[in-house]
Amino acid sequence: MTDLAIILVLAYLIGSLSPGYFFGRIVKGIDIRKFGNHNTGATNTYHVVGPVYGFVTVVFDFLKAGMVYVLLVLNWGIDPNWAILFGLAVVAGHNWPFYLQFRGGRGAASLSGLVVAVAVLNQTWPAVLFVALSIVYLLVISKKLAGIWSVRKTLKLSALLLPFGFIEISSGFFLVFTATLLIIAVVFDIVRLSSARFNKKYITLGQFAKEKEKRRLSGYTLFLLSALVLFLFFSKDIALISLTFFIFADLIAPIGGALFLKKEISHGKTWGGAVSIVVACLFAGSFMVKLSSASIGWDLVVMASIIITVLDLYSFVLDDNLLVPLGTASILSFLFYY
Amino acid sequence: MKHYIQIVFYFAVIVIMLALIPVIANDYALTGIYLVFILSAIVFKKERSDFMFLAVGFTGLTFGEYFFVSTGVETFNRNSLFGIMPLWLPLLWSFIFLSMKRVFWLMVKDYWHIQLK
Repeated sequence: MTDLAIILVLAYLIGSLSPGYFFGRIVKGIDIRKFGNHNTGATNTYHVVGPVYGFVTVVFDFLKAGMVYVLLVLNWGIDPNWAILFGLAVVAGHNWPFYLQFRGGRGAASLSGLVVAVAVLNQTWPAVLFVALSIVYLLVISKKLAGIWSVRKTLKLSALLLPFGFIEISSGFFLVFTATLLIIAVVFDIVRLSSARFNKKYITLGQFAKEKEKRRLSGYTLFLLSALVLFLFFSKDIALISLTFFIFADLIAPIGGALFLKKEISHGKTWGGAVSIVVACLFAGSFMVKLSSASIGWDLVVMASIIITVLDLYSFVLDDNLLVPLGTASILSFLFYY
Repeated sequence: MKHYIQIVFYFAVIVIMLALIPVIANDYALTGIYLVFILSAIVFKKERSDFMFLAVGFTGLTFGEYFFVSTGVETFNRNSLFGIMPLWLPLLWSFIFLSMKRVFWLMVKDYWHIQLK
């Protein structure tokens, strides 16, 4: 127990080493926290001190939490799930260093390094939860992606509970749960569509609603309808993979499209979005192959990733909440079961 | 929440309707009682779109339950309607839809101060 406490303190101390702050002091004689976005992170170092120092800072920050995690798991034989806590202590040290009045960086690079290390070394359910929450945190603090991540996206991410609950916990309970949510969503939509004033108020809730939902059922209702149909009429492996990959695709595509390969393919869909869907689906699939009790193989993961990416490009034909999950499940069923 | 008493009332009525199911074994008698509940709800308080929600609840959930039974998700011991489900079930769903709509409206009124009419 004492050993673990010492490791925890050491991890915090390693995390509190902020090269950005020292570069600011040594190179320019300034406190970097008084300039730019007022933190010791790599982005601020890049803009305030210089590109080279920013690059060194990002590499150091990225490696410190990940390396601590790798060393603890591979060399010291610490349980990979417990080691996540020590990795988080590094990130905490980066964010709240004691010698800088607990005002450090935001932990984007450190947490990213830890996420990569955990994703490679630890494919268990706690690791999945950690990776998902970390990604949400990174998206929320990212200024470049401000406006892309919304309450609506968070709700979509939480919808992962439906396919995983259906497969891993209780199919009967989650079937009834999904049906109940669908009924509530349908009643809400009818109430909304039957009152112009209420509908107008609802649509102005930009974080929850989309303008295109003004005269039709909401995306939530269509998603729940798709989930129910998948649970009722498709095999468990195909239902799980179609719904999970669709959720990831829907969340990742706008982010990828905003960050790189911004050239449009069709109807607002970009190459960056398409590439990120494939990568995100393969990444999620690597966990599902290992963890899911629905016996999912790599052939299914690869095919589903490609089909989801292609169908997402055609979501102007039919709402993506219907077309992508149901289309993917139909094609996969045809390919693998008939 | 100015209308919380009304919201609790609607939930309480649904709970009473559900509690009657094991008590009253005769499906026809229970159907009659549910009809009284529904008629009371629309006679004592008339609101816009009441009949639409009753109709959607009745037809939508009759088909929904039929799907659930046909796919083996659920089965009913009492099957006085078409031999697959109890006669009173669509009426129960009708009332639940009507209550949900009214509860939504009460919450909308509380939150945004929008009147239904």
